[in-house]
Amino acid sequence: MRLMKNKLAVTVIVLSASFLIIIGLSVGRKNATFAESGVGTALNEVQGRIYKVSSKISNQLSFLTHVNEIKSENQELKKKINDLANMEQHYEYLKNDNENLRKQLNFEKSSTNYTYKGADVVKGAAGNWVDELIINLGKDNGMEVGMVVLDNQGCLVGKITFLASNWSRIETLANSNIAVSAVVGGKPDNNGILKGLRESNNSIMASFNSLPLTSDIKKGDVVVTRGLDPGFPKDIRIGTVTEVQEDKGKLAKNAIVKPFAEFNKLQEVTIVMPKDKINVGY
Amino acid sequence: MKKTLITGLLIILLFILDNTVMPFLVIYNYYPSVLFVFIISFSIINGKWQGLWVGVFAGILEDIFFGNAFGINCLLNMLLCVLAGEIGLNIFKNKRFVPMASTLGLSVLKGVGIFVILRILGQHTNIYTAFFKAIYEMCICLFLYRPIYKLYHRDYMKKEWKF
Repeated sequence: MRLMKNKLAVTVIVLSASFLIIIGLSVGRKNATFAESGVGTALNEVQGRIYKVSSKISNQLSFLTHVNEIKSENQELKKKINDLANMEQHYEYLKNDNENLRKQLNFEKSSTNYTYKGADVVKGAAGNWVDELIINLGKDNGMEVGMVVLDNQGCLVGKITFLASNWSRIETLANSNIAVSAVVGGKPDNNGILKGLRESNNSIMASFNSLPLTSDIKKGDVVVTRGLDPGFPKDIRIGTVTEVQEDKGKLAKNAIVKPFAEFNKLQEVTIVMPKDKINVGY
Repeated sequence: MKKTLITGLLIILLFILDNTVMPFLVIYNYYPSVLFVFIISFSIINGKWQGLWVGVFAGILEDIFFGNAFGINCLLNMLLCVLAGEIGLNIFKNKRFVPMASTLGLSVLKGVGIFVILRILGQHTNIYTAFFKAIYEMCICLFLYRPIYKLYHRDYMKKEWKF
């Protein structure tokens, strides 16, 4: 056969077919094969260190180019600290009041508890396409697919989607496949579903949908998690609202949210591990 | 043997660079893949067969950390490297122009390929990434092609004709 004489074409066809089959079989898998775990762990040793160094250098440089912004941010933050110090007094009073009332009515506190574990980011997003981070904790450290990941300020980053023995992959909020039920801080009626979003200039935002038409959400509101999703604690900060739109066709309001977490600059993350894993049903 | 070893090490090194340094050299939120520029230039210089295996090896490395399914990068890299090898047959390999243009074109193809495959698998990604990445990678090729060409024309890289 003439085809057999052209070794290259045959090789290409055979390899293409095998890759297509492998792609088909491995879609949506959550656990790494043994070989992948091993190679990944080896590479992560080197990558982790280099990533930390580059990250530090990048942060130093961005400090130099943004001096003016930093100055004005500094002023704003000083003012905010003042305001918060005043609010703290009021909070203490409310807290004590609340506890007294609970005791009087014999209310039980909510039972889910969480421990928090810190991890290092070993590698950044895979070439812009899918927004993921690789961290240096995996199955052997007690991680499970679906665990929530926060940055070291406690703001939402994403979820674990893939496990190897010593490392795992996190999909960040930028990936539109992640959805969480969220609410505007302090206004329990303004709740909806929040999903990741990439704007046309490639910046990472989130879209907050299915809010009731009666909600009074506005620009500047802080969006936090609602605590309904399993494994998702309540009141984790997600971001601030930058834009509100009405969707009269679906009788809902939508908003665009700018996340607090700086996905490009993450060096360390915190994983939320529920103490009661069985109930969460990973 | 030496050539295989050096090429293999270079691929691993560039892959690590891609994951650790490149994410910080962002322009407008996009950053290039130095590894991709290398494998295309390699395929142009060294032909289809060697390009094929280099593409597969680089693809395997990229796929370990890539989300979703395994094999997307392998498939696309392999096909594009064979194409690059074909392009390399009829040009003056010591000139940069055609390699740069091919890097641009093949990078767009890879970008579109990834976009389409991820769409089929149900994931939405940003198509503009392909074009900006391609332009960025073309600029990297401008600087990298000559050194790569020189590397593969050193004495210990060439196969001796034995009479």
